[in-house]
Amino acid sequence: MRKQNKKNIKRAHKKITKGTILLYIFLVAMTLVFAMPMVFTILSSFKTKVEIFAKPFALPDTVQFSNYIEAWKGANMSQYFLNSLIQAGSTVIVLALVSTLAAYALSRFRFKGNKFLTVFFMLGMMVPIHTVLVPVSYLIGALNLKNNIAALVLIYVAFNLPFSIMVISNYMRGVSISLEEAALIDGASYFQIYRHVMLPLSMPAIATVSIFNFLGAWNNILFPLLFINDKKLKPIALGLLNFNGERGSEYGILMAAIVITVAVPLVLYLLFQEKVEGGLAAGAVKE
Amino acid sequence: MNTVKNHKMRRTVILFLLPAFVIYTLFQIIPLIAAVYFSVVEWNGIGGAALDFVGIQNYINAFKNPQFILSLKNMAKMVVFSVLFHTPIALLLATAINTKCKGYRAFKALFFVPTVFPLTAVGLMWYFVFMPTGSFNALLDKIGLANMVTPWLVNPDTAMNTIVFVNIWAGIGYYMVILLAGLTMIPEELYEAAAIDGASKVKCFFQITIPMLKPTLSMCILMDIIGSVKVFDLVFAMTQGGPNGLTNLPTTLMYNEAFKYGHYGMGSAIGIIILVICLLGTMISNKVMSRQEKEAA
Amino acid sequence: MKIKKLTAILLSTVLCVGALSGCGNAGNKEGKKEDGITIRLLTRMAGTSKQVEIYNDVLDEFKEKHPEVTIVDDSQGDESAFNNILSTDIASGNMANIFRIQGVANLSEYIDNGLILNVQPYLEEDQEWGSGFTEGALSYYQVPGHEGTYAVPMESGLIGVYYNEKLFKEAGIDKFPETWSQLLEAVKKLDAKGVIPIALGAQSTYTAGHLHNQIFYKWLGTDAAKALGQREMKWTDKGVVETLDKIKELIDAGAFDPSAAGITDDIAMTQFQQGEAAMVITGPWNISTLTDKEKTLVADDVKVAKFPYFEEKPEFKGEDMQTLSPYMISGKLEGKELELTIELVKMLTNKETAKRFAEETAFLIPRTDIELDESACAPLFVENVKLGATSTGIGVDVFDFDPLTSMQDRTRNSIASLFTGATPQEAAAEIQEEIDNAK
Repeated sequence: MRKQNKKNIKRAHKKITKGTILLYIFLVAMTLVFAMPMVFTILSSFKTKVEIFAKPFALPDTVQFSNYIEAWKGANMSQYFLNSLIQAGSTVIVLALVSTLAAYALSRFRFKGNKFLTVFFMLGMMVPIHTVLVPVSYLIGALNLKNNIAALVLIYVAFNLPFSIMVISNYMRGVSISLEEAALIDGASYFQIYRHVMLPLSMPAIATVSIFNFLGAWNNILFPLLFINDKKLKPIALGLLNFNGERGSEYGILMAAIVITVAVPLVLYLLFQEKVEGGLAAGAVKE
Repeated sequence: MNTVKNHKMRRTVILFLLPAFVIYTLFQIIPLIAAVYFSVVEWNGIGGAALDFVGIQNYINAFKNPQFILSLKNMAKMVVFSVLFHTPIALLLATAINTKCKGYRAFKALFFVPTVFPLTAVGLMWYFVFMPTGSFNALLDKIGLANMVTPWLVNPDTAMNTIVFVNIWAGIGYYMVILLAGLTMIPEELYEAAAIDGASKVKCFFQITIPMLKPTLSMCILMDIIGSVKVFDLVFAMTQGGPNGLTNLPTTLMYNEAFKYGHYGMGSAIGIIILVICLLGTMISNKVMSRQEKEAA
Repeated sequence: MKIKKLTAILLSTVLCVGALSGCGNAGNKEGKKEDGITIRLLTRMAGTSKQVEIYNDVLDEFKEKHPEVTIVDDSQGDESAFNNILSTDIASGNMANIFRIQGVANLSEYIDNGLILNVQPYLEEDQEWGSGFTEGALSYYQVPGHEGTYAVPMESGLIGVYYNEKLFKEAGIDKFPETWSQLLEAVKKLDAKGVIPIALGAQSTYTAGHLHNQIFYKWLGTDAAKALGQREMKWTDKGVVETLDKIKELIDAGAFDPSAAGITDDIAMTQFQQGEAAMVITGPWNISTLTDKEKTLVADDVKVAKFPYFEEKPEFKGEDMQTLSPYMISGKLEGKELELTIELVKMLTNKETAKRFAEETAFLIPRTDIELDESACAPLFVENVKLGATSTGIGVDVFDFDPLTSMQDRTRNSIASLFTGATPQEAAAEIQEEIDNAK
């Protein structure tokens, strides 16, 4: 028995070595394609303009941190960065609150119109942003909400609600009913149950959704493009585009600005690898 | 389930739902209805000026507009090539990573990470790779392919293809992760049984992996179709639809028509057409999928 | 009890959102302060250049004089960002106090909707300020079908050919070409010498557009642009196609970098600044850069000339492309707010400010009464002003007279497509189609 096992392993090992070469050739080839633009961007962000063109793939002669300093201060990236943190952060918080409340009602209460409302909230997932751009901009103009961050956040909330409600209410449906019943017997109100039972228990779903929503708000340009004109309020993805429009030939600084822009999603991903992958895969239905 | 019995409980439920309902209705449902309305009126973009009802004229104008037809063709190209490359490559990568070979985590992270970046940043990154004096041309020059050097994003023959390539690049990791999740759901016993029967790895792949992944694969393709229809940021960052409108997609054209030229009616009509395309895509894919499920059952 | 708590949550949500909105509104809302007046500006004066510095100095001076007034400057250096704000402003009817709209053909519609103030009475009222503007510049903003003048001109100047005299000499060309055939000859010589004859980055499509404007005015005259806009001429007319053909002729003669289609205006300008290119077509806004030795290696060799004319069309020799930019004033202002806005516009365009702009940054406000200290100015600027004064006809962009807003992009895109292999006929047909499709 043991002998056979060993034999098996040996055979497997032999087989793998052959396949492994192919496997790694494939993976390394793909790595080159995937890493190329990222490596080029990072390398260039430490170089002078002349160096970027003269030796695009070489390491920088002297590391130019000045590009980052100029991008951060001179090109206003620090402000954009902060703006995006505030905007994406508020979106996540408001969404978590609003969507868990709604999800709780939809998943744990039987009432007339529940089915209808569930479908109603799902409807939004089918609507591409572009379809509503003109009315939204008209609305913004009519209500005089230009450069209004609260309006921007509420729009993000509206567009991410369907997905958030869906994921969280699906999760809440799986939460054992006995806890809720016990709390009711103890005389807890429904709000207390929401606050002390459902919310803590749904944290995994909320976290997943929040990461997804954060990235969505961090990466969005279309809505801010429409009505956030004030430099002091622009989010980072839009600020980066504007910088490209204004000083597009200062490559080193621009590359540094790109790195700064992707840094937050990158760090988020590295910290919460599983959650981010899970969140985006769950968002699959939405995209 | 708590059955709503009394008035008080009803009020609780309403209060729970109210914030979501109000925000969602105000910023998504009303604009959606208004979008239909805007697509049948003409408005010169001046606040306070009259909105004239023109019926389906905006739609007729859209389809008479060669720019729009071109953008539809570009969209078709985007969809077809994205579908053709995204899922198959993602499947290969997922299978490779699922072997849990040495360093698989690093590979997975590398392939996935572009999907969390803002597409504007991705677009700009590639813009600088593909610009005439960019690193790609420098590379071609270095490896002796100087005759292939071209301004990739400006040459009418290559501009759209280049953008399609970047879209493929930016999306593979996403589908890879979804397929990876699907792969781990396939029971190990199936492979073990096949191994005992002496089936080769390649055979296993085609006879076990692919059939078992079918629902996931169809979902990937559906998402890919809709996702490719909605591409905007990439084009906006890389070419803004240029040169000469050659790389416009319906989304970018819609943006330009409405917000650059003030043709709000035409822009809204294109917006509705994008919606219809997405809905059709979903419906058809759903049908195909449910048929598959029935067959499987 | 639970209702109370829920209400509390809802309220705090609303409050939190409200607080956010307060912060978002901080710099923006008019009428927030009881009697404070807010003046909002939407110009292209943004960035770090010297011109912007002077502009900001004037704003500061105004603020000092009127501390009760809040100034909100929405100005954008980036063109698309600028256009974005402008179009949403127009769409909401909420115009900035001071703004600018490029072109003249669609002004009529805006005037009808009361968006733009007729400044004629104010020009007449304050003779010292109003009578100083050049006649040509003012008449540009006298819109057909409407009484009055609808903008205060704030920038003008010849769009000329800036050339590197040294490179010309080295190629054996002693004098800057005055005619088209001389230009073609010079191009050949420069090309043979291995320098790029004309720096042009057609990816910034306006550069191709500017080249075409030059050719267009010298071949058909500035009035032809109006005829196109009024549909008395077509883009597919023989004469117009010929103007496009002239660009093709230049391209075929090797006048541009082979990758001109894929480079931006910045890069093209850099080619000229570093002595890799012999000519560049640009306006006075670049003079301060071109005379700055730190930025322009060849600063000492840069000279300016008019675009060559066509031997067979001597009648259009003096028809030039000039730039002309306005300050427009919102037509919806009244009372004190209007008064203060006018005062600010006056401060931005008066004789003293014009002198500062001219001497310090080579930025020309079209006034006849600037007491220029020529020794304080860049010689290039003085030369530019002199050349500009000899124009017999002035045109800005050809599409300026076209009522279709999309013509700016349409014409520039189609003209730029000549650089990626389109034929003049195709480009002309494409532009005409846009007109025909718009009924």
